[in-house]
Amino acid sequence: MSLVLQMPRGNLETIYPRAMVLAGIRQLIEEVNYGAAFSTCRTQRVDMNILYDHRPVQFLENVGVFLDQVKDAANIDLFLSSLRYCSHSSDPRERYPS
Amino acid sequence: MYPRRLLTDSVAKVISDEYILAVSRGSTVPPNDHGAVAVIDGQTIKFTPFRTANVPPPMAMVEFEVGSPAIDVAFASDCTAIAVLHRDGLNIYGLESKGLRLSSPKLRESIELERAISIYEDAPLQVAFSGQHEIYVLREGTSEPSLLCTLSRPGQESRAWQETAASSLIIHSSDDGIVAQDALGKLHRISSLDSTPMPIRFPSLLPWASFITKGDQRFAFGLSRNGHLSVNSRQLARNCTSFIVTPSHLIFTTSNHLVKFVHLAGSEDGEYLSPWSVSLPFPH
Repeated sequence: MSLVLQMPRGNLETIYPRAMVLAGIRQLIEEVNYGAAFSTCRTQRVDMNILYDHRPVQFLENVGVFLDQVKDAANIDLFLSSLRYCSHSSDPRERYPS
Repeated sequence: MYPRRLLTDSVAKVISDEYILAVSRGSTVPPNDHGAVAVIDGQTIKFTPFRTANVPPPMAMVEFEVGSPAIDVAFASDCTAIAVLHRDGLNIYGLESKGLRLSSPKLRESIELERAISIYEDAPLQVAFSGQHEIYVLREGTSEPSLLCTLSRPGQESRAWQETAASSLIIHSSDDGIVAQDALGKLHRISSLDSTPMPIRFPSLLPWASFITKGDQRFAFGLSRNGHLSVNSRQLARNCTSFIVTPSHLIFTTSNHLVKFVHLAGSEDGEYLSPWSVSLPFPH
């Protein structure tokens, strides 16, 4: 999820572009690797609603897996407190249900 | 200053060789996206997997020597091997990944490639992997433009050189052969069994090229010497300085110090290449 760039002077800089981080998190969710997806959301400051919104049906079917992988109660609390009734899906019609 | 184009002639033909500054990269597909990079420095290969160790150039995590001046380096599709093509033959090194870290390369085998009688016309040009084990080597030919040779594991008996239309091999992480450009920029798919032209072509032979299949869409990306970035036959940018392809994006840098991201859409969207891109102001 990182990009290494070389500056004109030759030194290297590593950045974590949003686009790549989100793509990486989506990939982890699709692999049902909620543990890694959650950690990445935390370190990269990504809204945790994506853990549900990217694959809602899969999440509901794998709540047990999610809890096993995330393990720590404090982390689960963090996830629960960040949940909002506002979808982050790419379909604009689902974003703000009336 | 470095020599960029060499023109020589013999009785029967004129040979035009173009030289480019090239960096060999490993896979960008998780979980094998170690950020593996290899560059050639004479007889030395400098190898750095950036996810393992962020070592800035001109240093490298590992430097190893091959017996004669190196010509090209290629990575296996899952970063488990490196092939180094040099003047006397081909060296294959194994790479082990322990978790997220990649080990130092360990020499697995050293192959001498059959040399043609004329020492002036058998120059090896490029090497490429198909999948994890199959290796293709491109070299100049004597009476024909170029020759291609395939090495498969385990221990292939004869490695016969076959005439090919290919002028340049393209990086392509797939198990069923490689993609190559001919002198006009038309793409061919080559496997150990046959060679078929593809309905994709670049505007001309492009020195830096990459190929990816996404769903049932095939994208060939190429960069010309004057900064024109093409996707299949379509020009995408005019001031591109470098590019890389990941499973989700085409990422490229421009001469006015921007990094641009282009989202690669599969076949479920109407347009095959999403026009959305984000610019991050960043020096090169």
